[in-house]
Amino acid sequence: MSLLLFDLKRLIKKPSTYLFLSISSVFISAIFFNLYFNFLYLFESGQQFDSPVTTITVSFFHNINLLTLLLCSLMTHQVFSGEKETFYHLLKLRGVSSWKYLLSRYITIVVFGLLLLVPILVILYFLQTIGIRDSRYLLIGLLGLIFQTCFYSALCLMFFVFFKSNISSILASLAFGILLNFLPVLAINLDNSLLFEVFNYLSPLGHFQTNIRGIFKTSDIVFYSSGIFFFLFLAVQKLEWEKVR
Amino acid sequence: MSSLIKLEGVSKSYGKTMALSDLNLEIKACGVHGLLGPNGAGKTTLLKILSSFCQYDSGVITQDLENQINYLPEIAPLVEEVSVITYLDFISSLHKSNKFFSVDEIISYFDLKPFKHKIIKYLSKGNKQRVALSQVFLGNPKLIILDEPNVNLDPISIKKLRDLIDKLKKEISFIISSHQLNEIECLAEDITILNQAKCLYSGELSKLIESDHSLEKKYLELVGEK
Repeated sequence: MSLLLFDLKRLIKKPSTYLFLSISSVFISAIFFNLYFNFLYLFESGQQFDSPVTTITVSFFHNINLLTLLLCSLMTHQVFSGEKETFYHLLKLRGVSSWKYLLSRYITIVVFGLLLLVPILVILYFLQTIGIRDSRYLLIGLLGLIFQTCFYSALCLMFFVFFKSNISSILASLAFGILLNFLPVLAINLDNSLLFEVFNYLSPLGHFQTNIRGIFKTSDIVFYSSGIFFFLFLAVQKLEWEKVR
Repeated sequence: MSSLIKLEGVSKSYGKTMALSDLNLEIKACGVHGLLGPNGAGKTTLLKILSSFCQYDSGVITQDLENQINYLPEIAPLVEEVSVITYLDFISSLHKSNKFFSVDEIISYFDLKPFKHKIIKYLSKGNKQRVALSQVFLGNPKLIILDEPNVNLDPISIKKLRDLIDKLKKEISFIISSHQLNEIECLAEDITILNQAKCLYSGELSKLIESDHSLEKKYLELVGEK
């Protein structure tokens, strides 16, 4: 049995996983239906929209971004909670490398993170049936959301490795994630166009905003992959450093 | 007998607190090495250093045991959400082969058959300790380190563990840290006694205990208790 399979089994056996998945589904659905009925109300009261369903889709993806960060940090907590430090020592003694250990944890978080996207798929199917003009918005938006989930999962994993307390890890990953998202806002206040470009590139929100408009560039893939590698690399370094402490 | 691990002048401190000071120690290739000492003497630090989980500040350790040390720390490395069989199957899968026991054999030996499909979280403390002990005997270890292995065990399980160590010590080495002097006296050929980070004695048990002494008497004498 591989470590990944064992980690997945472990998470499946936790009753709190199901509770967490259900609550997050309710949250995602609530966000969507709140938007949907708001638009329906505006539409019926005579407000004109160029493409109402596309507007709902874009707004929905926009609203779900920070929720993804929260859900990823809670899912990482699910993976790490109850694990004894001595179990990691046991794995190291039996020849499991820090990379293998972290990648297994990372893939587990991503798999369950993507499970959280299932209600979103249902919503997207619903949008498809009510008639979206351009399905590019749906597909590329969803692709962007998958990349966001992978990015936030790596970020949260890094903080869970760095901090001993789970609560501190959740708070730190949320704070850092929010800070990254709002980097362009900081740059606007600094009134520096070069800094704005750099900060905008470093912000996952900047990339996601292009994705939800139906555009997916190579620079987005480079950003997400290098971010994921960077966070995992730092986490591995921390584990290796702990070993020789 | 050839040595498996040799420590020469090993020291370790946590900030200003000295955990081990200038320790010299030799673990033989087969047999049982008992580790004794009062609380805070440095026993757990020594076990962590031996199992490479703690870096020492100075000294030399000579060993060649990559992936051949199995360690049962004081806090058992159990994953409580899975069943006994899933956990042991996983530990077994980390090794190419099991030299002494298969998963089923070790489950039978420690009388865990009735609980093998139970989630570890719902087992009693004694049964949890038996699961933790079972994982130690899987794989192909050359050295097994046990930190307080008898904790929460009933007398039958203690006897089973003692018999098993007695049987396997011809092929592999054991380091057992315990406060139960009679247990160490029963099993070990060599012992190390630590107190306040310093080694008070390291060598053959028979040389320490003269005809008119018990280990308890000698131990109390060494650590300064009247």
